[in-house]
Amino acid sequence: MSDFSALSVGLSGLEAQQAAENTVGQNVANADTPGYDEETVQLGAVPSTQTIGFYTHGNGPGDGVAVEGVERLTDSYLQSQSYSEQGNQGTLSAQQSGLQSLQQSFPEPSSNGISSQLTQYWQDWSTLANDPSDSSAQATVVQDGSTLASSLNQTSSALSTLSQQTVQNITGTLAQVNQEASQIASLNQSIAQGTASSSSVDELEDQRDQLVSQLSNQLGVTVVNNPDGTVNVNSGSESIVSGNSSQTLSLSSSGPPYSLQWSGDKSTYQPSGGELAGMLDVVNNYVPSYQQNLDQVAQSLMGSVNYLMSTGYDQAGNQGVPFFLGTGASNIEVNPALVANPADLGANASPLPAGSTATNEDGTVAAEVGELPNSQTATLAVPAGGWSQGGSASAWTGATTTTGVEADVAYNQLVTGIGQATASVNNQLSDQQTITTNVNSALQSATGVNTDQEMTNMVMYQNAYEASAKFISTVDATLQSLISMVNG
Amino acid sequence: MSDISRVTQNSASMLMVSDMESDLSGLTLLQEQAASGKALNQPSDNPTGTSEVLSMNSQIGRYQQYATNAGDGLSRLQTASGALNSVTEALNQVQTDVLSGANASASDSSDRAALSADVLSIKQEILGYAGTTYNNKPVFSGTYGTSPYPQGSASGVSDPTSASYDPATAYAYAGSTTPLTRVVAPGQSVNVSVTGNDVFGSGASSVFALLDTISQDLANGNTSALSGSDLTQLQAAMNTVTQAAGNTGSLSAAITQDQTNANDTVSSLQTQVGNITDANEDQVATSLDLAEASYQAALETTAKIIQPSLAQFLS
Repeated sequence: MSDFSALSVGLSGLEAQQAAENTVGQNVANADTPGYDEETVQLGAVPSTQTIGFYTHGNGPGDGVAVEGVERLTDSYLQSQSYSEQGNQGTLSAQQSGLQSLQQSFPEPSSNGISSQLTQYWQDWSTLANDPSDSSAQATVVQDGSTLASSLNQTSSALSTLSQQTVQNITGTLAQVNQEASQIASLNQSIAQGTASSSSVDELEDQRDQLVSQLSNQLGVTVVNNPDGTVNVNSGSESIVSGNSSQTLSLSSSGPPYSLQWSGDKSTYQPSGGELAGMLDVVNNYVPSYQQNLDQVAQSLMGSVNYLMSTGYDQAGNQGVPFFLGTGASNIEVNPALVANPADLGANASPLPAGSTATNEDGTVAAEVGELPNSQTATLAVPAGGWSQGGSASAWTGATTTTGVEADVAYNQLVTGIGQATASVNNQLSDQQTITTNVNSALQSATGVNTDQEMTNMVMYQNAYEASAKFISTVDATLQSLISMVNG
Repeated sequence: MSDISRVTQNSASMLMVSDMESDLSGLTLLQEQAASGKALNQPSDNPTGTSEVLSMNSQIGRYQQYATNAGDGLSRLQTASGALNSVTEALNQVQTDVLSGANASASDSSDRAALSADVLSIKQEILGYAGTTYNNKPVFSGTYGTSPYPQGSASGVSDPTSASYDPATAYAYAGSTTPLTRVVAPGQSVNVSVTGNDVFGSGASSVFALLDTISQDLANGNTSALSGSDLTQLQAAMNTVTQAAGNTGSLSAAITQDQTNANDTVSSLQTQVGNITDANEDQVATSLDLAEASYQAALETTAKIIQPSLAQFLS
């Protein structure tokens, strides 16, 4: 070993420590970058070269140090667990958001919800029974009936709006999902090329993992690592990213039920994880089921009040006409004939004798309407062609009766059902958030940047750098003394 | 965390932030309860409680209505009762007139004419009582909103001295024979009226036709009829009215009890609803203090834990 080669050993030390310091700098700079994995410099001693020739030298201490590579910390187990928990959390968040919007459409218990309006409506009938010929009592029944009907209309339309908004959100999320899948595919390509040419792909891999994590939150995915550094991303049994190619998902046109469709084999897909699963759950299950329950409330109201109207007689002695018209919560309305003339309410059990000029003070049928909420069930009139057939007494022709759940009971079940579903999802989401935070924190612990460690490394590399520099100056001094000796 | 050997600043802060968020959301919930005074602000806060509250609120509405119905019925019965007491007094006066007419000497025609006129005026008085109204609706017409014994041009002649005297038409009962009812408890409706037909009768057999007969007998000095059939029938009519008055009295007593029951049920249901929906102020205040203290402690501790870094100690 020559004295001059000692200088190059010292230089390699300076260069290696410099590279290590640079890595510390990169780590500290990215300590807060989402998805950044800590990098460590792999240093390796360079063995001494055996050179046979004029200046043959034997086995020396080696030719210094070299940077063999920069590796990032990974933990594939925690990483895949993190993807899976992101998917679960995405589903629950989307469900919770949908259910909370649903719940806000039912402001209960309160003094202005549908429940209070029903109670008021029944009370109005009972008040009418106390004075069946009183025009203000008649008008109050019709007015509060209209208020109740329009509340049902509004709630029904709020549910439809929620469904439409959720479908828009699904479309928006699908655009992001497709964008992410195509980005992952192109990153895969760059990574494969980088790996083949042995250049550093750490930052690309960090970016890709970050995208997969987002994708999992939206769609729920599993990941397969390939030997060339790329990943395949699967959702269900389909592969959304395979190497450098990706396929897209779109929303099948009409629904409910809505489903997703793969661009590849055109098969339909119901994801089981991610926000999309939750949002599809909202539009396919929650909203239609609560809409159906709300229709049941409206139909029970129509059927039970109308049935009693068919048994009643108005002030003029004519048979009562249907009170409510419509087919469900979306279009229930008070019979326009009654809005125009509230005295036509069939409030009395029997007509006055022919030719009588008296008012009918019986009110027994009105009292029966007021008593409807006392039972769990009610007799419902079912007209041959629905209540939209017309508001005249001829609507009774061909009508049959059935027994159904009373309107208050049906509404109570609906609100309680939404409350239970929301409370249950709230609890699940709260548990899931703890799990996700713990897994992400564990992943961050395993692969993130520990600045204390970086500071320690920095001091260590600094000391080694100073030592290498000192070594060079010592070799220099040695050479100087040798040269001055020759000169002297 | 203890089983993970490597810890990074970010993983530590991730957990601390998560813990603080959960402290904060607990604190916010308590603050909402303290501010609104309600433990039940939306169905998901307590689904079972919501179901009970909705059902009880609906019952409260109904029982309030039962109390209103009972009040309406009670007022009607009291009005009818007042009228019937006046009718009894008037008939007592007729009885006095009949007895003095039966005992008067046949020559004392001016006395008898005065007695006859008095009875006729009492008949008009009783017709007035029979038309008593509550809330502008006659109380003795059952379910028909009309005067029970309409007098006037359309009706038959009610003057017993007239040749065309027609008690069957003049005193025909125009109301219904069905009494009015009010629902005062679930599935329970009670009568809140007595019909004129039951109290005063109808047409030629009505109390008014009897009074016409008595006035004619008084005018004609028909003492045997006065002390015989007239007196018997008058006493029977008085019995009927007294019984009807007693009947309204017992109905009033029953309906008053129904009203009290309905009001008691309302109070009891309101207390139960309050127990479910209202936040327990003492408990919320105490929990709020605790939550605030623990949130502050978490903030202070976190601030101290996150601060130190080796970078600060390197020069």
